[in-house]
Amino acid sequence: MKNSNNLNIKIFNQLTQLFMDKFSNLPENIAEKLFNRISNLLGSLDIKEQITILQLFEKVEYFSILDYEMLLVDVIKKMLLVLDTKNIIFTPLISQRVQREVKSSMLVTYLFKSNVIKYEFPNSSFQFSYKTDLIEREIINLNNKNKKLAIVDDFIGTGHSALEAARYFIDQGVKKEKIIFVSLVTLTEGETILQNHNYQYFYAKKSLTLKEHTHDLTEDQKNQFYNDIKIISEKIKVNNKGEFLGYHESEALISMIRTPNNSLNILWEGVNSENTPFPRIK
Amino acid sequence: MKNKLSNIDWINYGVLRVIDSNANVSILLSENFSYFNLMKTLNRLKNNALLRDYSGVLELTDHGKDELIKLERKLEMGNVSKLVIPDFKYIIDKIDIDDVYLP
Repeated sequence: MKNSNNLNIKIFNQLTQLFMDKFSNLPENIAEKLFNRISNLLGSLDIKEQITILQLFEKVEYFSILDYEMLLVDVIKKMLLVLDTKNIIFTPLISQRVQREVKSSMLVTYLFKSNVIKYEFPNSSFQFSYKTDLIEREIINLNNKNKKLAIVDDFIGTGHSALEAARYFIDQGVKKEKIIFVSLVTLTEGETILQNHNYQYFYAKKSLTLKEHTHDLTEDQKNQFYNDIKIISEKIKVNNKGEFLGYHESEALISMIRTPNNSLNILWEGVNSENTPFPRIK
Repeated sequence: MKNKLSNIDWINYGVLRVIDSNANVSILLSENFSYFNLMKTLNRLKNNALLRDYSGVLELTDHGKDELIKLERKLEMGNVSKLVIPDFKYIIDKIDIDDVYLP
Protein backbone atom coordinates (compact mmCIF):
# COMPACT_ATOMS: atom_id res chain seq x y z
CA MET A 1 0.00 0.00 0.00
CA LYS A 2 1.35 3.40 -0.99
CA ASN A 3 3.06 5.43 1.75
CA SER A 4 2.18 2.85 4.38
CA ASN A 5 5.25 0.78 4.87
CA ASN A 6 6.57 1.92 8.17
CA LEU A 7 4.32 0.96 11.05
CA ASN A 8 5.76 -1.14 13.83
CA ILE A 9 3.43 -3.44 15.78
CA LYS A 10 4.11 -1.52 19.04
CA ILE A 11 2.96 1.79 17.56
CA PHE A 12 0.07 0.04 15.86
CA ASN A 13 -0.98 -1.45 19.18
CA GLN A 14 -0.90 1.99 20.81
CA LEU A 15 -3.07 3.33 18.01
CA THR A 16 -5.48 0.43 18.49
CA GLN A 17 -5.81 1.21 22.21
CA LEU A 18 -6.31 4.89 21.55
CA PHE A 19 -8.89 4.24 18.86
CA MET A 20 -10.84 1.82 21.06
CA ASP A 21 -10.86 4.33 23.91
CA LYS A 22 -11.96 7.27 21.81
CA PHE A 23 -13.97 5.98 18.89
CA SER A 24 -15.45 2.62 19.95
CA ASN A 25 -19.00 3.95 19.70
CA LEU A 26 -18.72 4.66 15.97
CA PRO A 27 -20.58 2.46 13.47
CA GLU A 28 -18.19 -0.02 11.88
CA ASN A 29 -18.18 1.44 8.37
CA ILE A 30 -17.27 4.91 9.70
CA ALA A 31 -14.73 3.50 12.16
CA GLU A 32 -13.06 1.37 9.46
CA LYS A 33 -12.43 4.28 7.11
CA LEU A 34 -11.27 6.58 9.90
CA PHE A 35 -8.93 3.97 11.35
CA ASN A 36 -7.41 3.17 7.96
CA ARG A 37 -6.82 6.85 7.21
CA ILE A 38 -5.08 7.42 10.56
CA SER A 39 -2.99 4.26 10.08
CA ASN A 40 -2.01 5.38 6.57
CA LEU A 41 -0.90 8.71 8.00
CA LEU A 42 1.22 6.99 10.66
CA GLY A 43 2.64 4.62 8.06
CA SER A 44 3.94 7.54 6.01
CA LEU A 45 5.92 8.99 8.97
CA ASP A 46 9.02 8.04 10.90
CA ILE A 47 8.72 6.67 14.43
CA LYS A 48 9.29 9.97 16.27
CA GLU A 49 6.62 11.62 14.12
CA GLN A 50 4.27 8.70 14.71
CA ILE A 51 4.55 9.23 18.48
CA THR A 52 3.79 12.93 18.01
CA ILE A 53 0.65 12.08 16.02
CA LEU A 54 -0.47 9.60 18.69
CA GLN A 55 0.01 12.28 21.35
CA LEU A 56 -1.99 14.68 19.21
CA PHE A 57 -4.78 12.16 18.68
CA GLU A 58 -5.18 11.68 22.42
CA LYS A 59 -6.50 15.24 22.38
CA VAL A 60 -8.66 15.09 19.25
CA GLU A 61 -12.44 15.00 19.66
CA TYR A 62 -14.91 13.65 17.14
CA PHE A 63 -18.66 14.16 17.35
CA SER A 64 -20.48 12.25 14.64
CA ILE A 65 -24.05 12.96 13.56
CA LEU A 66 -25.12 10.24 16.02
CA ASP A 67 -23.98 12.45 18.91
CA TYR A 68 -25.89 15.52 17.78
CA GLU A 69 -29.26 14.82 19.38
CA MET A 70 -27.79 14.10 22.80
CA LEU A 71 -25.65 17.23 22.62
CA LEU A 72 -28.80 19.13 21.78
CA VAL A 73 -30.59 17.66 24.81
CA ASP A 74 -27.69 18.90 26.98
CA VAL A 75 -27.81 22.39 25.61
CA ILE A 76 -31.61 22.67 25.92
CA LYS A 77 -31.36 21.64 29.59
CA LYS A 78 -28.84 24.43 30.14
CA MET A 79 -31.10 26.94 28.38
CA LEU A 80 -34.12 25.98 30.47
CA LEU A 81 -32.18 26.54 33.69
CA VAL A 82 -31.25 30.09 32.78
CA LEU A 83 -33.76 31.62 30.38
CA ASP A 84 -36.84 33.39 31.72
CA THR A 85 -38.82 32.54 28.59
CA LYS A 86 -39.67 29.37 26.74
CA ASN A 87 -40.88 31.29 23.72
CA ILE A 88 -37.96 31.00 21.35
CA ILE A 89 -37.46 31.42 17.62
CA PHE A 90 -34.61 29.21 16.41
CA THR A 91 -32.71 30.30 13.35
CA PRO A 92 -29.62 28.78 11.73
CA LEU A 93 -26.35 30.67 11.98
CA ILE A 94 -25.72 31.98 8.47
CA SER A 95 -22.86 34.42 8.12
CA GLN A 96 -22.85 35.03 4.39
CA ARG A 97 -26.46 35.11 3.31
CA VAL A 98 -25.68 36.18 -0.27
CA GLN A 99 -24.15 32.75 -0.97
CA ARG A 100 -27.42 30.91 -0.18
CA GLU A 101 -25.52 27.74 0.75
CA VAL A 102 -26.98 24.89 2.79
CA LYS A 103 -25.15 24.93 6.14
CA SER A 104 -24.76 22.49 9.03
CA SER A 105 -26.52 25.08 11.22
CA MET A 106 -29.71 24.33 9.27
CA LEU A 107 -29.40 20.65 10.16
CA VAL A 108 -28.99 21.46 13.87
CA THR A 109 -31.93 23.85 13.80
CA TYR A 110 -34.10 21.14 12.28
CA LEU A 111 -32.96 18.68 14.97
CA PHE A 112 -34.86 20.77 17.56
CA LYS A 113 -37.93 19.22 15.98
CA SER A 114 -36.69 15.64 16.41
CA ASN A 115 -38.65 13.07 18.38
CA VAL A 116 -35.69 12.55 20.75
CA ILE A 117 -36.01 16.18 21.84
CA LYS A 118 -39.81 16.07 22.06
CA TYR A 119 -39.70 12.85 24.12
CA GLU A 120 -36.97 14.22 26.40
CA PHE A 121 -39.01 17.29 27.32
CA PRO A 122 -42.59 15.99 27.02
CA ASN A 123 -44.28 18.31 29.54
CA SER A 124 -42.39 21.48 28.88
CA SER A 125 -44.36 24.48 27.83
CA PHE A 126 -42.03 25.29 24.97
CA GLN A 127 -43.19 27.58 22.29
CA PHE A 128 -40.50 26.90 19.75
CA SER A 129 -40.63 28.13 16.19
CA TYR A 130 -38.10 27.76 13.42
CA LYS A 131 -37.29 30.40 10.83
CA THR A 132 -34.46 31.00 8.40
CA ASP A 133 -35.40 34.67 8.26
CA LEU A 134 -37.86 37.05 9.91
CA ILE A 135 -40.41 39.33 8.32
CA GLU A 136 -41.15 42.80 9.73
CA ARG A 137 -44.22 41.67 11.70
CA GLU A 138 -42.23 38.88 13.35
CA ILE A 139 -39.43 41.28 14.29
CA ILE A 140 -41.90 43.69 15.94
CA ASN A 141 -43.49 40.76 17.77
CA LEU A 142 -40.09 39.47 18.92
CA ASN A 143 -39.00 42.91 20.15
CA ASN A 144 -42.22 43.58 22.06
CA LYS A 145 -42.88 40.21 23.70
CA ASN A 146 -41.02 37.98 26.13
CA LYS A 147 -39.31 36.11 23.30
CA LYS A 148 -35.78 35.28 22.23
CA LEU A 149 -34.16 34.72 18.86
CA ALA A 150 -31.69 31.82 19.19
CA ILE A 151 -29.01 31.67 16.50
CA VAL A 152 -28.04 28.01 16.21
CA ASP A 153 -24.97 26.14 14.96
CA ASP A 154 -23.17 22.88 15.62
CA PHE A 155 -19.80 24.56 16.23
CA ILE A 156 -18.69 28.09 17.06
CA GLY A 157 -14.95 28.57 16.65
CA THR A 158 -13.58 32.11 16.63
CA GLY A 159 -17.08 33.61 16.94
CA HIS A 160 -16.60 35.93 13.95
CA SER A 161 -19.28 34.22 11.84
CA ALA A 162 -21.63 34.31 14.84
CA LEU A 163 -21.20 38.07 15.22
CA GLU A 164 -21.79 38.51 11.50
CA ALA A 165 -25.01 36.48 11.74
CA ALA A 166 -26.20 38.60 14.69
CA ARG A 167 -25.33 41.78 12.80
CA TYR A 168 -27.70 40.71 9.99
CA PHE A 169 -30.66 40.48 12.37
CA ILE A 170 -29.75 43.70 14.20
CA ASP A 171 -29.65 45.48 10.85
CA GLN A 172 -33.14 44.08 10.18
CA GLY A 173 -34.34 45.76 13.40
CA VAL A 174 -34.04 42.98 16.01
CA LYS A 175 -33.02 44.35 19.43
CA LYS A 176 -29.57 43.06 20.38
CA GLU A 177 -30.73 41.82 23.80
CA LYS A 178 -33.26 39.54 22.11
CA ILE A 179 -30.50 37.52 20.43
CA ILE A 180 -28.95 34.48 22.08
CA PHE A 181 -26.55 31.89 20.66
CA VAL A 182 -26.85 28.12 20.84
CA SER A 183 -24.14 25.73 19.74
CA LEU A 184 -23.43 22.06 20.31
CA VAL A 185 -19.69 22.61 20.68
CA THR A 186 -17.61 25.73 21.19
CA LEU A 187 -14.04 26.91 21.41
CA THR A 188 -13.07 29.17 24.31
CA GLU A 189 -12.27 31.93 21.82
CA GLY A 190 -15.86 31.90 20.48
CA GLU A 191 -17.29 31.88 23.98
CA THR A 192 -15.12 34.82 25.04
CA ILE A 193 -15.90 36.97 22.01
CA LEU A 194 -19.68 36.42 22.38
CA GLN A 195 -19.54 37.17 26.10
CA ASN A 196 -17.48 40.30 25.42
CA HIS A 197 -20.25 41.41 23.08
CA ASN A 198 -22.78 40.75 25.87
CA TYR A 199 -24.60 37.89 24.18
CA GLN A 200 -26.07 34.99 26.15
CA TYR A 201 -24.47 31.83 24.82
CA PHE A 202 -25.44 28.20 25.49
CA TYR A 203 -23.39 25.22 24.39
CA ALA A 204 -23.15 21.53 25.28
CA LYS A 205 -19.37 20.96 25.14
CA LYS A 206 -16.26 23.06 25.08
CA SER A 207 -13.51 21.62 22.91
CA LEU A 208 -10.01 22.51 24.04
CA THR A 209 -7.46 23.76 21.55
CA LEU A 210 -3.87 22.58 21.23
CA LYS A 211 -2.80 25.77 23.02
CA GLU A 212 -5.05 24.91 25.98
CA HIS A 213 -3.98 21.27 26.03
CA THR A 214 -0.28 22.18 26.08
CA HIS A 215 -0.71 24.96 28.62
CA ASP A 216 1.11 23.06 31.38
CA LEU A 217 4.16 22.10 29.29
CA THR A 218 7.41 24.02 29.57
CA GLU A 219 8.20 26.50 26.79
CA ASP A 220 10.82 24.11 25.39
CA GLN A 221 8.42 21.15 25.35
CA LYS A 222 5.74 23.30 23.74
CA ASN A 223 8.09 24.63 21.05
CA GLN A 224 9.31 21.13 20.32
CA PHE A 225 5.75 19.77 19.96
CA TYR A 226 4.60 22.62 17.71
CA ASN A 227 7.74 22.28 15.61
CA ASP A 228 7.13 18.55 15.21
CA ILE A 229 3.55 19.20 14.07
CA LYS A 230 4.83 21.82 11.61
CA ILE A 231 7.39 19.42 10.15
CA ILE A 232 4.80 16.65 9.75
CA SER A 233 2.36 19.12 8.17
CA GLU A 234 5.02 20.09 5.64
CA LYS A 235 5.88 16.45 5.03
CA ILE A 236 2.34 15.46 4.12
CA LYS A 237 1.92 18.77 2.25
CA VAL A 238 -1.10 20.13 4.10
CA ASN A 239 -0.97 23.34 2.07
CA ASN A 240 1.50 25.50 0.23
CA LYS A 241 1.09 28.54 2.46
CA GLY A 242 2.87 27.10 5.47
CA GLU A 243 -0.31 27.33 7.60
CA PHE A 244 -0.73 24.46 10.02
CA LEU A 245 -2.69 25.75 13.04
CA GLY A 246 -6.07 26.03 11.33
CA TYR A 247 -8.20 29.02 10.30
CA HIS A 248 -7.18 32.15 12.21
CA GLU A 249 -4.61 29.99 14.07
CA SER A 250 -7.49 28.60 16.13
CA GLU A 251 -5.59 25.36 16.95
CA ALA A 252 -8.83 23.38 17.29
CA LEU A 253 -8.66 19.60 17.60
CA ILE A 254 -12.13 18.62 16.56
CA SER A 255 -14.15 17.02 13.82
CA MET A 256 -17.92 16.92 13.63
CA ILE A 257 -20.34 16.14 10.79
CA ARG A 258 -17.72 18.03 8.81
CA THR A 259 -14.34 19.15 10.06
CA PRO A 260 -14.15 22.83 11.00
CA ASN A 261 -11.30 24.62 9.24
CA ASN A 262 -10.40 25.93 12.72
CA SER A 263 -8.86 22.50 13.34
CA LEU A 264 -5.15 21.91 12.78
CA ASN A 265 -4.59 21.59 9.03
CA ILE A 266 -2.99 18.20 9.51
CA LEU A 267 -6.40 16.81 10.51
CA TRP A 268 -8.18 17.87 7.31
CA GLU A 269 -5.96 19.37 4.62
CA GLY A 270 -3.53 16.65 3.49
CA VAL A 271 -2.91 16.45 -0.24
CA ASN A 272 -3.86 12.77 -0.07
CA SER A 273 -7.28 12.20 1.51
CA GLU A 274 -6.35 8.56 2.21
CA ASN A 275 -3.85 9.62 4.84
CA THR A 276 -5.74 12.66 6.12
CA PRO A 277 -7.76 11.73 9.23
CA PHE A 278 -10.79 13.98 8.64
CA PRO A 279 -10.49 15.32 5.08
CA ARG A 280 -12.72 18.21 4.04
CA ILE A 281 -13.92 16.88 0.69
CA LYS A 282 -15.98 19.38 -1.31
CA MET B 1 -11.50 -19.58 -5.83
CA LYS B 2 -11.42 -18.88 -2.12
CA ASN B 3 -8.37 -16.87 -1.14
CA LYS B 4 -6.03 -18.35 1.45
CA LEU B 5 -6.19 -15.14 3.43
CA SER B 6 -9.90 -15.62 4.07
CA ASN B 7 -8.70 -18.51 6.23
CA ILE B 8 -8.57 -17.40 9.84
CA ASP B 9 -5.52 -19.65 10.46
CA TRP B 10 -3.44 -17.61 8.03
CA ILE B 11 -4.53 -14.34 9.60
CA ASN B 12 -3.88 -15.55 13.14
CA TYR B 13 -0.52 -16.93 12.08
CA GLY B 14 0.55 -13.67 10.42
CA VAL B 15 -0.44 -11.47 13.35
CA LEU B 16 1.11 -13.76 15.98
CA ARG B 17 4.30 -13.99 13.94
CA VAL B 18 4.61 -10.20 13.55
CA ILE B 19 4.13 -9.69 17.28
CA ASP B 20 6.60 -12.45 18.11
CA SER B 21 9.20 -10.71 15.92
CA ASN B 22 8.27 -7.13 16.88
CA ALA B 23 7.95 -6.48 13.14
CA ASN B 24 6.34 -4.00 10.79
CA VAL B 25 2.59 -4.58 10.40
CA SER B 26 2.41 -3.45 6.78
CA ILE B 27 3.63 -6.89 5.75
CA LEU B 28 0.18 -8.17 6.75
CA LEU B 29 -1.75 -5.77 4.54
CA SER B 30 -3.32 -6.92 1.31
CA GLU B 31 -6.26 -6.02 -0.86
CA ASN B 32 -8.54 -8.01 1.45
CA PHE B 33 -6.87 -7.24 4.75
CA SER B 34 -6.75 -3.62 5.92
CA TYR B 35 -5.36 -1.93 9.01
CA PHE B 36 -8.88 -2.06 10.45
CA ASN B 37 -9.07 -5.84 9.94
CA LEU B 38 -5.72 -6.06 11.66
CA MET B 39 -7.01 -4.07 14.64
CA LYS B 40 -10.00 -6.39 14.95
CA THR B 41 -7.74 -9.46 14.78
CA LEU B 42 -5.45 -8.00 17.42
CA ASN B 43 -8.40 -7.40 19.75
CA ARG B 44 -9.77 -10.89 19.11
CA LEU B 45 -6.42 -12.49 19.91
CA LYS B 46 -6.18 -10.45 23.12
CA ASN B 47 -9.71 -11.44 24.12
CA ASN B 48 -8.82 -15.10 23.55
CA ALA B 49 -5.74 -14.78 25.78
CA LEU B 50 -3.27 -15.49 22.98
CA LEU B 51 -1.75 -12.05 23.58
CA ARG B 52 -1.18 -9.95 26.65
CA ASP B 53 -0.79 -6.22 26.67
CA TYR B 54 1.02 -4.75 29.68
CA SER B 55 0.89 -0.97 29.33
CA GLY B 56 1.34 -1.06 25.58
CA VAL B 57 3.93 -3.87 25.54
CA LEU B 58 2.45 -6.63 23.46
CA GLU B 59 3.56 -10.23 24.02
CA LEU B 60 2.46 -13.72 23.15
CA THR B 61 1.16 -15.66 26.12
CA ASP B 62 2.27 -19.30 26.56
CA HIS B 63 -1.03 -20.23 24.96
CA GLY B 64 -0.20 -17.86 22.08
CA LYS B 65 3.27 -19.38 21.62
CA ASP B 66 1.74 -22.89 21.47
CA GLU B 67 -0.83 -21.68 18.98
CA LEU B 68 1.89 -20.18 16.75
CA ILE B 69 3.78 -23.49 16.68
CA LYS B 70 0.57 -25.39 15.91
CA LEU B 71 -0.29 -22.99 13.09
CA GLU B 72 3.22 -23.25 11.58
CA ARG B 73 2.77 -27.01 11.43
CA LYS B 74 -0.79 -26.86 10.16
CA LEU B 75 0.04 -24.38 7.41
CA GLU B 76 3.21 -26.34 6.55
CA MET B 77 5.36 -23.25 6.84
CA GLY B 78 8.62 -25.17 7.21
CA ASN B 79 11.85 -23.86 8.68
CA VAL B 80 11.97 -20.80 6.45
CA SER B 81 9.14 -19.20 8.44
CA LYS B 82 11.51 -18.92 11.43
CA LEU B 83 13.60 -16.48 9.40
CA VAL B 84 11.17 -14.74 7.11
CA ILE B 85 7.58 -13.62 7.71
CA PRO B 86 5.54 -14.22 4.57
CA ASP B 87 4.33 -11.03 2.93
CA PHE B 88 0.54 -11.28 2.74
CA LYS B 89 0.45 -9.39 -0.54
CA TYR B 90 2.16 -12.33 -2.23
CA ILE B 91 0.27 -15.19 -0.60
CA ILE B 92 -1.76 -16.86 -3.32
CA ASP B 93 -3.45 -20.23 -3.62
CA LYS B 94 -1.76 -23.01 -5.50
CA ILE B 95 -3.55 -23.48 -8.79
CA ASP B 96 -5.23 -26.84 -9.32
CA ILE B 97 -4.11 -29.02 -12.22
CA ASP B 98 -7.59 -28.73 -13.75
CA ASP B 99 -7.79 -24.93 -13.42
CA VAL B 100 -7.19 -22.71 -16.41
CA TYR B 101 -5.11 -19.64 -15.66
CA LEU B 102 -6.21 -16.52 -17.52
CA PRO B 103 -3.80 -13.64 -16.87
